[in-house]
Amino acid sequence: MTAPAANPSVTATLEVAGVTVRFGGVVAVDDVSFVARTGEVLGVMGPNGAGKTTLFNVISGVQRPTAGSVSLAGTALTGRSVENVAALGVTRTFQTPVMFWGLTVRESIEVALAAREFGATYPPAPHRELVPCGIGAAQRRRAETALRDTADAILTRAGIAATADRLTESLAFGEERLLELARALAVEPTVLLLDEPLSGLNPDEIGAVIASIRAAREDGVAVLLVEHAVGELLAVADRVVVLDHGRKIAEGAPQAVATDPLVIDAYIGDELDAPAGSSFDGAQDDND
Amino acid sequence: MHGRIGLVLLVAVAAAVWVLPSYYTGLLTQIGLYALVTIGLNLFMGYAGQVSLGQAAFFGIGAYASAALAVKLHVTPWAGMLAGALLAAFVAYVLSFVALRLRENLLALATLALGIVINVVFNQWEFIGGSSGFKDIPGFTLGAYTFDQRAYAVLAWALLVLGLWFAGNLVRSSFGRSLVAISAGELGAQALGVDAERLKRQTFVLSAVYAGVAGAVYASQQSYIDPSSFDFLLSVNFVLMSVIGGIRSLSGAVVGAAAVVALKQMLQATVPLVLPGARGDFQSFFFGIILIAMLIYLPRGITGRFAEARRA
Repeated sequence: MTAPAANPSVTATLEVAGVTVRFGGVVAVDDVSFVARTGEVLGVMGPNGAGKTTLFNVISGVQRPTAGSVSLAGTALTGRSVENVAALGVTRTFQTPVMFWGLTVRESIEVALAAREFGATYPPAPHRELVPCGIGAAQRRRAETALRDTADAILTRAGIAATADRLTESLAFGEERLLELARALAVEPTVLLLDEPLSGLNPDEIGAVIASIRAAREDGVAVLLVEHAVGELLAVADRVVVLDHGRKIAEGAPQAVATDPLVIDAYIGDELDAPAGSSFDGAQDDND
Repeated sequence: MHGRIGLVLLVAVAAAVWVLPSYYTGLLTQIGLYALVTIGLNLFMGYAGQVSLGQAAFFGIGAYASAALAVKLHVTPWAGMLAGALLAAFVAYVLSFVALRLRENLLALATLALGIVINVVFNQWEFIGGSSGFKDIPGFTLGAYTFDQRAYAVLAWALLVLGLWFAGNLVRSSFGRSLVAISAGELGAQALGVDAERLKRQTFVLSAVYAGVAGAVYASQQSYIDPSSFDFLLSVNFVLMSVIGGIRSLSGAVVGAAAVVALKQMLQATVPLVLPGARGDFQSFFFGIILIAMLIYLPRGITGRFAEARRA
């Protein structure tokens, strides 16, 4: 597929305008604005506590901003529930992968596919889901087979086809990351928020995640990438936004940002040589 | 698969009622109806990861709706069963907007309070008999045939098979997978577009329908109900059936209901032999001890233990 970014008529997909988040007296995000366009990878950098994850929480509907707004192609996202934001095309992954224990890897993908199928939040009205559980068994079996085939294709693309029948609680950390990314891509989002997708991964897995990010970009997805592995982030991002203490201190092409004295001073200096995942602290930091 | 196992059980029950004394036939009916309630509870607790300590309320609403319609308006219990299910569903739907905003311990407390409040309504509302309840509730009929205890056992188990078949389809569908997803990682599922609140509401309402249907049959089978038939202890018993059978298992609902009913019967028969002159409290004492032991040694329930053994 041609990257929509190459099309000059493509407009901003996600617009973050003047977003501020206060937790009591603490300002976690301070008047941050930027746009993310279809078919680009927008890196979001900053030291721990810079407000990156809080920003992701605002965009994905987890956290309501104190001020400012987020919109997707002109549709306001602010004030909507997480599932509504997702149904409009914005999905995300988490610093600590959220697994659906009790389901197999394939079934986890099938949850995402069902959510996508109805084009709105899932489940649909009872007559579209509950009633068919009692009738139309043959038709349902065909639909289940089709769902299974699609899920298998997604798992193959993500490089974890061998784990399809395993319960998610048996996965290694790296496999969890790959599954969470595959699950997010299965809903065919317009905007994908990835929160430290490389941390805790081995080099092969990092390669697989970066390949998936690039493939998503080719498919026209706007990928927002929070990552402490600065080298990898600068290599994959088309543009970078840098946060420090909740404020945006720089925005631009990766190389321009990497040489910005303000950014070097605030963050990048001792991070450039760090190996991927070296800054992972293993904890979900909602106030990061 | 659940439907097929259920059909085999139904045939077995239909055959057994011809040879069993009527007392045991009554117990079979009780197991069938309690298992029906527990299937709904397992969907809500085991699959959706929620908790309800108020399921006896929906069982009672089904019973009272059917009994009131039959006694006051001479409506056939078949229609009463439908009305009982619908009323239980309606009450669950309305209450879900408050209760399902809460989680874990608070949800447990909210559903517990719901059960108590509805029991107070049963007690205080004179139109439905107040504290003395309903007597002489008309039985189910089929043409000229009025149901006897054997027919009630078959009816209860036929409804149970239907309930197992439907729930079996449900848990294997996208709906069922989404339930497990929200119970394991609600935010992760929501980020994919899964409306967790709606799923929980639909499952809560469905669990009330299961309880309402069972309650309606119970009212006609007993021909007498009063508020004490649907008290908090019954809700606790439903949770016990769910946990002992295996909370994320549909067959576990049947196993759990059978285990609890059988255990109570066994204690009723054996405690007086061991401790002559012992009052009923002693049975509750041993019941409690055995349940604690089962929860320690079979934390995933009886069916969960079998599943582990199969995998080993």
